[in-house]
Amino acid sequence: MKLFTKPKSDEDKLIEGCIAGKRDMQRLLYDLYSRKMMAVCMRYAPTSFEAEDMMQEGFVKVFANIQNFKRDCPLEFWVRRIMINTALKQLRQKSLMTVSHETEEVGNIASEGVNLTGYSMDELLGMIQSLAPRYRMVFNLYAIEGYNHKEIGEMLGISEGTSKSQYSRARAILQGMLERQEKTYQENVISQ
Amino acid sequence: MSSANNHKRNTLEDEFQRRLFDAEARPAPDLWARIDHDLTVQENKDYKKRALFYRQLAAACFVLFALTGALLAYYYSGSLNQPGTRPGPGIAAAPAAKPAAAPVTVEEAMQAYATQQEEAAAMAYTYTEETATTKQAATTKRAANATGISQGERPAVAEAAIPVDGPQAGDYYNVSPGYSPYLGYTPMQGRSRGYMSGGFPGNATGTTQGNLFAPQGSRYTQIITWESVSITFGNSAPATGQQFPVGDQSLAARPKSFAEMSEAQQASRQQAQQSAEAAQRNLAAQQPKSVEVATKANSRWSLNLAYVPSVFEQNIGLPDPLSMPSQNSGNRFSLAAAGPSVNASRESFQNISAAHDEFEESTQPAYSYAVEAKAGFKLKNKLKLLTGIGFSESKSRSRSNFIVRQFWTKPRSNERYELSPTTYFTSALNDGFSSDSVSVARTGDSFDTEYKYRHLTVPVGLQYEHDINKDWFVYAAAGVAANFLLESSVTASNQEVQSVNYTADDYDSPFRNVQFSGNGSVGVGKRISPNLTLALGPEVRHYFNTLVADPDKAAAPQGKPYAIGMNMSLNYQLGNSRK
Repeated sequence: MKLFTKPKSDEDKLIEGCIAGKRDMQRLLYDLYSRKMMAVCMRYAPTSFEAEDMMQEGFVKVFANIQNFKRDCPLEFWVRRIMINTALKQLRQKSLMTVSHETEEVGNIASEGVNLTGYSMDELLGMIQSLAPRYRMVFNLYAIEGYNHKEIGEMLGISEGTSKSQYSRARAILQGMLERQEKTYQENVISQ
Repeated sequence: MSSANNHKRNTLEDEFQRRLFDAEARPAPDLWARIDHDLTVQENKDYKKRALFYRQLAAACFVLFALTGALLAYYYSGSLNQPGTRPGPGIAAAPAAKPAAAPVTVEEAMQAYATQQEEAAAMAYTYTEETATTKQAATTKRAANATGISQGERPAVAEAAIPVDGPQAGDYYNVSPGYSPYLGYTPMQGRSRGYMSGGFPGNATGTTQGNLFAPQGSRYTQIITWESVSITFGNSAPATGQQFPVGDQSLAARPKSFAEMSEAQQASRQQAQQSAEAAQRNLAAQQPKSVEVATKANSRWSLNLAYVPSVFEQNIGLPDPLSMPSQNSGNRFSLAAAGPSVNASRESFQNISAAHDEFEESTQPAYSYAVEAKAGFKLKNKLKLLTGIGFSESKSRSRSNFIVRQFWTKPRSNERYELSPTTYFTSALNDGFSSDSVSVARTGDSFDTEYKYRHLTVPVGLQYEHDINKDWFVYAAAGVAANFLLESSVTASNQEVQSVNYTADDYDSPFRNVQFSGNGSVGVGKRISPNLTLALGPEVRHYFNTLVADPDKAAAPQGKPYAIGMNMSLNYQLGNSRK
């Protein structure tokens, strides 16, 4: 019992246990974040198999470098950042960072009144996964993670303008997908 | 919305973020097993890498120490066997000085005799040659034979090395009666027996065998001194039928007078002396090359003694008084009690705050020092690797007006008892304040507390030296050291306060037993002699860990200690490094 020290949080204990290499603590950390990180990896990977590979590598990195965690942000953000970096690395290794020229015609689509409530998470993930790797990457980083285009440019090694244009294209593709889905749904309703 | 704004955030982005940012997905059940396997593989790899590193480090240390030991052994044995202390070929050929007193025993006599054989040889040849030539010519010849180096006709050393088939050392032979300062009187008159220390005449003809003045190739003739010969000639005459008669040649070599013989001997000695000096000069001229070759190999090594007076900052604080609870509201007997109660809480809190402030203000580094003995190995022209062993004593002190009193309650009798009062520092070092209640009291007089840590150190470092001019140089050094705690103590000058002292194997010691540190130093050096240098410069030593073994258990905040001092070192270069 310590009188003058703040009681340690569970997260602190967890981190210290992981630094000490205690396998049960590592398992605990995995259990705590594995579901969220799996969803993250699935957004960046084209398939769930690749997402699992990504997550496996990411967690090994987390445990290998957890002593470098400065505790200046929540542990979850740090783990998430490692997963994203792992995804970036894997995509680079697989040379998937080149932009494939989509043949789909993308027009100027208004995004007002978009409501995704009717879509399941699998459907939304499926839409994102169907994007070309770099579009998918830029879209994830900008729309979901909240990075700005300058940061994305630095992360991907592209200019800010390129990031903007690629995002714009990715966004338009997604809009098109959503519209088609909507159209199909309405046709189904009318036919019934 | 125009396409130009397609890259900006809108409701689409917000909707995707809302739905997906905190989304969860179930990973494959065997994913943890795969991660676990990867971690195990990585740990094994790390372990192997670490084991390999330590093995290599141990091997390197062993080799280093073995080399150092071998070098030292070689260096010191080499200095004992300098060429000057052992007769070399040139020196052996030179005549020795005449002994001050005659030897007592025959063996001693023969030993001393052997050292003067060159002189005897000169004399022997003198009389041999005088039968046909003039005295002057004989003198010249004697000198030539006495030298035995430049002439090369019959070098004494070469003669000594020639194996002989005849009688060996220790055999008796017939000589004419007479006296030698080394042989003594021969026991028989006319045909006496003498003692031979060298070889026997190589040619066994009756005329030369046993002849004192036998000519070429006779080792026998060389062992007789001038004194012996002169007296022998005065007292003996050749007899017919003698077993080893002295031949006519010997008789013909008989000197005309003692004055002539004396002159001849003087001339011979002078010549021999000059020849010996010439030989010494030749030897000296050859010697530096061999010495240089020997010392060049040694010149990479040096011995270094360093003394570093310093000030030491232990970098240990006191617990923040604000983190102390105001009172123990929990159940005293509960295992989950929030903390000890503080007697007279208001006063104690004030005292805790005051003690905290006082400690921060009054703690100051005290005189500390380190001494090290290191062996240096020159890796490059200016770069040197140093390693060895050392001792350090690090001290810090503070002045205080407060003591900590802690109380326990006996579980059965519910009786309270007090532990020995301690300093606030000591209580905060480990998992202190674990008693049922704590009181921080003000003492009447302030007292000093000294914190002392003694370490055995094993330093390894690199030193770079750059010459300013012939006598001065600058240096920069950096290294690491393993510090093994020998003793630690917290000593209070107040009798009431308990002082603590921990030894290396003390289980209760809160301090770290092995501590690693890094140090850096720059400074200037002066060459006192070609082999000895003195260096001086500031040194910073920073420890990689806290002094307390488990800082997480300590109530007080723990920092990494450091010391700032002045490095004074003497460096002795083995061999002749600077030409």
